[in-house]
Amino acid sequence: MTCNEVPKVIDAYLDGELSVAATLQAHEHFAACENCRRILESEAALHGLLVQASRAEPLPTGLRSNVLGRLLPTVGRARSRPARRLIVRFGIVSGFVGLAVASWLVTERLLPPPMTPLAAELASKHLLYGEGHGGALELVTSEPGKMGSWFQGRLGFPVSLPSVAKRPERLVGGRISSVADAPAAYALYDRSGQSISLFVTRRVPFARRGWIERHVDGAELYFASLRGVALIWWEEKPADRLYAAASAGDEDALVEFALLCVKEGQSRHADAALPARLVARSLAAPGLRRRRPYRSGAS
Amino acid sequence: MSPRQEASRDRVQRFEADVLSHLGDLYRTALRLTGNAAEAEDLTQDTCLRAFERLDQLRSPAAARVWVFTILRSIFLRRVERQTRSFEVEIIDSPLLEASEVLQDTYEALRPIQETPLSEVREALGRLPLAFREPLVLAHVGGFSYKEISEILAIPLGTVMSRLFRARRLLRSELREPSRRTGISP
Repeated sequence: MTCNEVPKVIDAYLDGELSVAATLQAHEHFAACENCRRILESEAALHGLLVQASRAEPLPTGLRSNVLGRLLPTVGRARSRPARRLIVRFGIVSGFVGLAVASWLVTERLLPPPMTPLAAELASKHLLYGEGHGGALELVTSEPGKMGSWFQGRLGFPVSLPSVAKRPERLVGGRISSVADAPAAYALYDRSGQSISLFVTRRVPFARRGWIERHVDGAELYFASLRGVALIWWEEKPADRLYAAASAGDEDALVEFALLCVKEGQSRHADAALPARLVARSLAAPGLRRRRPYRSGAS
Repeated sequence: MSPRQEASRDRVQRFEADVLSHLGDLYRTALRLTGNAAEAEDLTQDTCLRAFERLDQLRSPAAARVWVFTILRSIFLRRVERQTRSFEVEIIDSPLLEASEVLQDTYEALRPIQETPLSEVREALGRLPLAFREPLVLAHVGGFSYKEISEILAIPLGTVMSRLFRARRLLRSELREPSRRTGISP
């Protein structure tokens, strides 16, 4: 792909309408061409603004019940004689529906707009690297230590990957990538056939608008979702690292994976900060012991 | 419960599952098309009523989303046609932006655009000619694919792509130069 072709495909790239082969070609070009990458970011920002501007508006109160209310005479006409009992039941159903709409509205109002350039970038890269089941990887290995050393050799900074020996996730491999124009390690995990992408980079400045901040099990996580891809990022401040995880599968599993990474990062820094004789005791510290596994609201 | 009552109940349940589940997106689409909350609410209600009356025409729940948005668009267009004497759809595929202008439109505007208040984006969207606004709203509010937009608007896939492309370029110009108006707005 050449720079002249970029304006023709950039919308389709961001709209997810390019074929896999064309997406890969475009991605390769964006990775190599700084000018086009900036155009891509600018376009992604415009797409993000459009989504936010269009979706952030609440529904008028009572719209759903008004719609159902207008249907009642139609139901009566269609079915000849309106049965009183049916109307009463309909009213009860409408009441419940109204309540459901009200709670949905509250949720909608609280939710910030869904898309940011970082979300677009992470989601695209997850789809490119993660859903190809390893085809885009530069090193295939299931050993986190080996993967970490490989990253350090190429990126120039240490990358700690979580230990998944006793976990349902399996490390598939990794490659060098970028996040917000900064070099990043990309590791691919598999959990029961679902791909989980993990990006690790030095902390970089980026717009946080559009991400939902949640405190889960003591960890500060930022959530977004784009084109069916759930995204989470968090910071490991003592190590000056930004982590981001993405998956098109179960969001609870992704949160669990993120918490595993957070917890292991905290353990590493707790160990590093304490004299050796206190390390064993630090692992049994009350703050760590109190941690519970993540439970979703639905479970 | 009599068979007739049972049929009524099933119909309402089907309507709730296939149509009312899209109520939020229907309303937001109506709002961006009409630019007016009261009109949008009215348009949404009329769309739902029409969908309920024609529910038997819906063959598969998977097709419900495109189907009900097509109804919304059809009712909206009829209203626009009633309100405006000359409905100048034909100008929309003329080259409003030349290729050179498109290529000039690069990343230098990134920061200003990122910081644009959402109210300004909505206003700029409202100023776009209808034929550009429609695919943009369907893509960003409804999350429809190009193929689905082409079905809803009854235009070829290539036209969807070119209108989306031009719409975004026009919108960018509007956001950069709010004083510059892009043209007709029904």
